[in-house]
Amino acid sequence: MRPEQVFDPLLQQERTSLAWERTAFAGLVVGTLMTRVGASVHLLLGGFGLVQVCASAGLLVWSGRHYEDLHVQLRAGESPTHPRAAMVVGIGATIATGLATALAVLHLVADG
Amino acid sequence: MGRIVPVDEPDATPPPRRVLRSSHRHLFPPDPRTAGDDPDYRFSLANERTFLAWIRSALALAAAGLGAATLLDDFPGEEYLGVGLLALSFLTAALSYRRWALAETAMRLGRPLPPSRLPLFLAVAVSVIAVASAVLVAIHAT
Repeated sequence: MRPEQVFDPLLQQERTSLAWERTAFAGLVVGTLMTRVGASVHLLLGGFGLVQVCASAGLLVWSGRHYEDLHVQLRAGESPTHPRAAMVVGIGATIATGLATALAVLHLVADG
Repeated sequence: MGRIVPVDEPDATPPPRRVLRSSHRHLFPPDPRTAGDDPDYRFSLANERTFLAWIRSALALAAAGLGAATLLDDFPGEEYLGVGLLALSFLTAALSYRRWALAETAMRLGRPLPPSRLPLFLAVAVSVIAVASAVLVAIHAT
């Protein structure tokens, strides 16, 4: 059930939720650029960027739902940390930036 | 004369799979909730926001690198500048989760937060890339 008032007057959970959403937006931008650079080398390589765009869109949807869930967790006195989400985003960003580096190197080689 | 090696002496070099697993553990430590007690929720949320800010910094560096490698056609050495920014973004992203997990574990155990060299490293690296860009532009202009 949706609460009628926020848990924390400092709006900590709202700021954290916005931070998740900003991270998802940044992922969307990187995914779009990866699609462009990848497709300029080979059309199939653009698929890596599209996967990144889809993953970031998924993160955006999840972060909206997570904000609603945080109210329940905080009122129940439970820890609001989500280690699995942090690990998924950490590993996902590492893979995405690694792939982006590889695509830029391939673009450099292809251009001669 | 050759050195006599005892039969039960442990191998000095661990197998490659163990090295890979060990480096994975180093970069991605296990769930911090296995240690200590829940800290004040405000500290946990602040730690989470800091982690996300690091991830966004990594993604911003990646966007800048990809943009430099493809969009700056008239800029001398733009591909190398782009690859440098992307390598920096990879390192930042790879170290972000470790930073979050170590800080969360320290909070749960009531210990001081461990210091990190990542902010200094990132500041120096971005400064070096900025100076290199300025030098390249100056050379191109003259």
